[in-house]
Formats: sequence, C-alpha cells, structure tokens
Amino acid sequence: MINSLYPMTTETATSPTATSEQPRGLSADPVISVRDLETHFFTDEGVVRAVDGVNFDVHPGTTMGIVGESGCGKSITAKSILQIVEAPGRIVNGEIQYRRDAGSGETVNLLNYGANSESMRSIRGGEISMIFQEPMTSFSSLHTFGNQIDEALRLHTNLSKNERFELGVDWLARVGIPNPTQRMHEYPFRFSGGQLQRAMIAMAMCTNPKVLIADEPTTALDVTTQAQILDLLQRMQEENDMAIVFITHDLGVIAEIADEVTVMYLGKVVESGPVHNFFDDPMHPYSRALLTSIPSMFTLSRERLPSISGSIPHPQNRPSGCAFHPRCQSYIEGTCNIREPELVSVNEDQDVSCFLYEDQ
Amino acid sequence: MTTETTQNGNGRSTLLDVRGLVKYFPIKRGFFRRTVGTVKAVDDVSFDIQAGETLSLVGESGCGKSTTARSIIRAYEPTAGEILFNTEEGDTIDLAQLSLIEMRPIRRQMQMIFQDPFSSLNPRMNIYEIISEPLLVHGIGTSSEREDRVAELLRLVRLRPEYMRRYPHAFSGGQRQRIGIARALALNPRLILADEPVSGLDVSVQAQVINLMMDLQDSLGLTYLFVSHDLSVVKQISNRVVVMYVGRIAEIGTPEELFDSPKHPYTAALMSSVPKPHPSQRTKRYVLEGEVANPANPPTGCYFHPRCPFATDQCKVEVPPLVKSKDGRYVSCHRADEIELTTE
Repeated sequence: MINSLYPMTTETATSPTATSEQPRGLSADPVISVRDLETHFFTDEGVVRAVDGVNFDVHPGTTMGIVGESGCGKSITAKSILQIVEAPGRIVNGEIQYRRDAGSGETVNLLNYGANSESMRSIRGGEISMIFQEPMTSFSSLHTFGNQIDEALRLHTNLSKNERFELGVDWLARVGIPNPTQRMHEYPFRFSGGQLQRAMIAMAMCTNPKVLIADEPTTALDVTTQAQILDLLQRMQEENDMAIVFITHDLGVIAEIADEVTVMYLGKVVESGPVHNFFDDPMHPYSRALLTSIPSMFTLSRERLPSISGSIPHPQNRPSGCAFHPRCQSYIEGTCNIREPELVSVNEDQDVSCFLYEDQ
Repeated sequence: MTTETTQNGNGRSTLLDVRGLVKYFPIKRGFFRRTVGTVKAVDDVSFDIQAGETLSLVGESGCGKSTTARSIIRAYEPTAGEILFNTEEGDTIDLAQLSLIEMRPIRRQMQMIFQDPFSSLNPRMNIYEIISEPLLVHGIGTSSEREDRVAELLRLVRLRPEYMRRYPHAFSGGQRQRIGIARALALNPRLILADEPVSGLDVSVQAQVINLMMDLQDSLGLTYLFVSHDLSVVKQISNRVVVMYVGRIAEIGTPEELFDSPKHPYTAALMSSVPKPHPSQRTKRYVLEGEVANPANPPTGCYFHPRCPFATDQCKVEVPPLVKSKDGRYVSCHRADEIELTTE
C-alpha cells in the first residue's frame, strides 16, 4: 500500500525483481564505497584530524556496524557521507561513491556535489536518510509531527497533500505508534522518548531510502525499547533491501544486527570484516581488548574482567605512530610508537592495521 | 519480608532494611500551584542490604530506582515507610524519622557516587579541595592530616597524589569518576550509593572503574547500593538484584537466578531484551508490547498487566504482593508458580 503511493512506482516495481536476481547481500555491488575519507576540524588550537583516511563498503540489504568510542570519528564519518559536517570541520580528501540506481549501475561521487547543491539535497533525506541518538534535537518543537513529515515528503516526492498525510499516518502506524491520525496533529513533546525515536525512524523511512545511516539510535533508550527499535529496523531492511550503516559503541547491538563490522580508533579504521570473524577471531589488539573487557550476559556474577589501561587520548594529543600504542598489550617498542600501521588484508575477509600482521 | 536478618545464609548482617518505602511527587498546576495529582515514583518498596554485598536496583527509566536510592540518603523526603540503618555503634535507626540535622552524622557512614563525572566535580576546586571537603564539613583533622588523607585516598583509587593540586579539567572521564569515588570514601563510609557510576564513561574505561569498585569493596568491606540500567554491568557486579517496574518491586534474586530462571514476566522480558553477546545467538527478539505505565496514572491491579502475556482477570484488579516463593526468592506475580519463563 505504501509503495503504490510513490510517484516512482514503475521504478520500484521493477527494481526488486532486478535485485532479487542478483545475489543478495555482500556479493552484490556496494551501494556506498567510502575511500580515503579525511575530515579535519580547523580549530584555533590546531587541526584535529577527526576522520583520517577511512575506507569501507556498504552493501544493499545488509548492515555495516561502525564500532568506536568517543572521539573515534564514527559520527563525523556518517555526517561526511551526507555532507552535514558542521564548521570548523571540512572534508579535505576522499571519495564517497554512491550507486544511485541498481538498474543502470550509475555511480556518483557524492563529494563532487556541493553540500548545498540541488543533487545533494535530493539525496540527503531522500535516497540516504539518517537517524540520530537524540530524537528531541532532530525535530522542531514548533511544528506538529504531521507538518514535519509533510516537509520531508514534499521535498522528496510528488505526492499531493492528502497523499502525504495518508503516508505519514501509515508510517506512524507501521512503527507502532498508537492513534497515528491523531498523533499527526500533535507536537513532538507529546511523544515519549521511545515513541519519538520511532517517529524519527518513520520520518527517515517515509521517503523509501536505499541507505539508512543510524548514529547511536538506541544508546539513550532502555533495553526493552532498544529491542523494539532494532526489531523495527530489521523488518524495514528486509522489506526494502535497504542498506544500514549502524554506528554504536555497544558490541551487544553489533552482535545482534550487523553483517559486517568496522572498528575505528581516533579517526582511523583499525579492523574491518564480517561480524562472525570479528567476534570469533578479532585481530587488532584494540578489538580483542574491547571484547574481553566489556561485561556481557556471558559474564558471571562477581567476575573480574581484564581492563584496558589508560584512556582515549584527546584528538589534539594524538600519540605518535599507532594511536593505540600507549594502551596496547602487544606494543612493540621502536615500531608502534614511530611508524603508523596501514590497513592491510590479513585473510580473505579481514583487514587490520597492526604491525603484528605486517608480514602476512 | 525482611524480618530474617541472615536470609542469604552466609552469615552477613543486615546493614539497611527498607520497609514499605513510598515517595510521591505532587503535580502542581496553575497560579496557586494547586496539587492536581501525584506521581507515584516509589510505591511500597521493601528490601534489605546485607553488610558487604552489592545490591543493584534495575529497571527502565522512570521505574523509581534512582528515587529509591535518593530517598534512602534523604536527598528526597520519603512520603512513608521505614529506612532502618544499623550504625557503626550497633544501633538501629529509622532514617525516615530523622531531622536533617540528626541525619548529618549518619551521612558520614553513607556516601554517594554520581553518574556524570563532568558535572559532579566543581571545576573551580582542585582535587585536594574536592576530596577534603567532606572532612572539612565534618571538622575532621588538621590541614596537614587532611592532606595526608587525600594522598592516601588518591593512592587508593590508583591516582598519583602529586595530582592533588590539579583541577578536574586535567583529568579524563575515568579519572574523574575515580576522584568522585575518593571523595565518597573520605569519611570511611559503610554504605556507598552508586547511581549509574559507569554509564557516562567510555566502554574501554568502564572495566577500570568496575574493577576498582570491587577491589575497594573487598579491601574496605564496603556495601554498595548500585543503581544502573546496564544489565550486563549489573550482572557482573551484584550479589543480588532488585527489579523494579513503575515504582514497585517485581522480583529480587541473584543475577544468575534472574537471568537464567526469572519468575516474573517483566524480569523475563527485560532480560531477553539485552542483546546477546555473540552473533551466532541471534534469536527472534521477544519484544515487549506497549509503553511503560505512567506513574501519575498507573493501571489498576498489577502495573505490568497491560503488557503481560500471562495476565488474567485477577491481575487486572488485585495488586500482587511481594512474596517469598518456595525456593526463597521474592516475586510479586499472581502466577509466579504456574508459568514457565525463559530469557531466550
């Protein structure tokens, strides 16, 4: 019923068959390829290299989990894809190849479009949507929810006012908000935290995006609401063959929903590969330390877990060489503190940037 | 429920015994601030804490876990109930009856650690001033004795005493939280109330603080009342866990009991919502329907009945009491003995 309301009905009617012939998931061509992305912040105290040469691919119908802690550049990477990095940040290098149309295979470098160009505006919030950790900040408190979803649909579809309203009601119902028709006329403060998060997902999804970028969408929520949201995202993904870039520091969430994992530390990718490899055979000392130091449902009562020494350095005090070396268990004096490791393939699936695997 | 003092059978004595604790907040409206309703934040909560154990309060936001902790230390005035505290001197005192002045000496034995290590330390005070302030307030020691004590406390939380004259901005989140712990320990308290002490920290430094808290507990014989929404951390640190839902207790048990064989349907739903730690364990998520009840206008009977798959007509009208089940666990569910629950 939702698809029938779209102006691009003919396209969407043919593309599912086209994609279903292709092998689903990882073997399909990536919908987004990020190459050598560098986003720097030009502050009075100096240049902060928030994103410093990041590479990854996102495939249709799959979820790429980007794991990292504060200051690792995961959110700035996401914002760079949509070119919504706030000043004094600027994308200084790299490519973001986006495959616009599965049929023709036309691929464009998003960074060739200006941040405020018409092409970028038509992609942002339309073909590529984003949801945030703080739903309160992504809604205007001065407009009803209906008005705000209407704006998104007006920009990205050719629907009439009534059709847009109907689609909005439909999406609110699909994300599980009771009395959707009435809620369309209400202001965001009337929604609870979990409802607001779901309303934001409805707004991001109503334009039928090919890629959804989710920046810590469940971090502020209770586990029960988190389970609802993860469930919802996965159902939406199955229906639309949508790719999801899921940013989080929660390894449990990664274990639940990611197909592939990219681990970042201080602006760089330290490890990437399929989710099973990451959990069964993590390669980078940082990945290993994270997996053993964070309690999970496996942890026994009163069990001591090994801790990672030190804390994350301030981005302006980036350690020399490998940024993780002051906290690393496998630190090699004279190598790790002097040279920077490169991200290299260590086997068919996994890429790691660590001198432990240099010879492989 | 808490008449037996050694219910764990491990010879511990009861340090704190909370009986029928109630905390209502009035909802005021209009020019004359008339009370138009009440939020039943904590509604008849009873549990006890044994000396030397870690008891955790868990539940979703708004379930009253923080309000319970704050009512115990009298940051909030309890509406009703008894808070029986066994002091160092061997007396049992009902904290709910004390005036704020009478409460002051008790606070030496009961300290709090807060969630946000950035807002809980005064940025205009150096570390020596922050940690020695409780000593100053209680008039303990001379200036040089206080300095020695601060140095000792800093060593205890694995920070270098030389840092004493630095200001909070020079420290990372994990270090600040350790400073907060040092301040809480300054008066040699017996009970520490920790409200989400690691939630504001990066995951790679959480283990440092958790390990420190467990080490201090062993070496100083501390008792913790630990409030958290992170069930994995709770499972790791706790001896016993109190599960709360809309101001009431659903269930009390050891972490293993609650995670492996919950008796209350809400406990089961909560535990099964926690992400599984490995991708090979992905299962169909058991998603709890509906929203948490509004504590200003809770449903009749069992507060959980509108979301409960096992609810009967009895659940809609009758509030289930917290009762001790056959195997010594505390559950408030009419059907606890007949239903089979799993967290898969």
